[in-house]
Amino acid sequence: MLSAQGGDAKAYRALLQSLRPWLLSYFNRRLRGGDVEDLVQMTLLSLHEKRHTYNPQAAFMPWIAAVARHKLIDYVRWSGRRVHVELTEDLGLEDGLSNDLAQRDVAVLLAKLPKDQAQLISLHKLEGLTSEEVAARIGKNASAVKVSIHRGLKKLQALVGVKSGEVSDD
Amino acid sequence: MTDSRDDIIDSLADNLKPVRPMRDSLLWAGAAGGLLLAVLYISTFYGFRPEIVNLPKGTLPAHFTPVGKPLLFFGLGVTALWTVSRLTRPEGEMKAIYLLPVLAALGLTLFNMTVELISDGWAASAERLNGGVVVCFTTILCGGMAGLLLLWRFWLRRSASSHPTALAAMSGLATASLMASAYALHCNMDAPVYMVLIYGLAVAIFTGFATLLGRRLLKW
Repeated sequence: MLSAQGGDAKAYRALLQSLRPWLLSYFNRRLRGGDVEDLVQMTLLSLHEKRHTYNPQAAFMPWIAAVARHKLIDYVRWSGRRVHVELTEDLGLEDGLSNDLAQRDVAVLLAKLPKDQAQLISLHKLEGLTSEEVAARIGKNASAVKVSIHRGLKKLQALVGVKSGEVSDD
Repeated sequence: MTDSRDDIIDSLADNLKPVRPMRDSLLWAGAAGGLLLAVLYISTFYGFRPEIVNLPKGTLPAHFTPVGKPLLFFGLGVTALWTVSRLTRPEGEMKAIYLLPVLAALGLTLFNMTVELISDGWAASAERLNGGVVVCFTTILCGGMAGLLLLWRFWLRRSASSHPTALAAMSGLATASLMASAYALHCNMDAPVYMVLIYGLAVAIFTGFATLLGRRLLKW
């Protein structure tokens, strides 16, 4: 998205293409029986028109999830049809996410945490070490490591607008 | 056969132009510039009240109100503007905490007005409403409108809020409050009843007007 804001058409095309399957899944899961293809196109158009509202220092998924959710609500209001809509506040993580986008968002979010805490979460969540293994690696108490990871994850949830309890530590 | 979904992606990518991302620092710099213009306007055409003129000389006012009144509206304007910056982007959420400064300011002024009415009665309080009402109202409404137009031109029209009505209301509240804070540097009507019924009403009317206008204009 950063490249797209700078006018890089190739990067922009790749972004839109990688987003399309996610958008299809996102709308299919929430709008059973609606014109999902139309919604995907409307969302891509909105993304294009409002791409300057994306904050380069922030994670991308909360932004695109909010655009998609806004378009979904708009569509339901406009169509006036009785359709089944689940207006959950989640980021659409179950709808599949391109690895590049996910990795970039993780890096952006971890950079907002204190360095030590980001390292603990990285070792635990990305490298798959247990809390005890993380504690042994960095020479800290396992309980302290668990608490720090838990608090860090809470902060990350707050940063992406996910309410406490919606995502577990595991 | 070409897939229409590919068509739209190709079309968007082919017509891509660089854009300047919205930066909150620009909003704050613009608001500071606008407030400075408002203060200059008040100082040039109305003049500051004596307590404010004497402040740089180190003379503190006998009461806090000459300073507290501009500060109250300044605080309200700044917190409303902060909410505007939070709500500008799609992912911005409306939180109850954003309304706390409004409720606190309203509570404080209403409390003072109630105390005044109980101790002095309505007849004495009503007399304190005489003086500068039209000027106060028109200055806050016209100044708020000028600020809102600037805010629209340089910020709001580029926004994409998931809460357009709240964004519109907060924009109106921010510009009217900041204008009220500038006007309060001149106005020597310090009675709580005046602050609620004249200042408060002017700010409330303008906020309502901005809400009605913005909820349509800020749709995307």
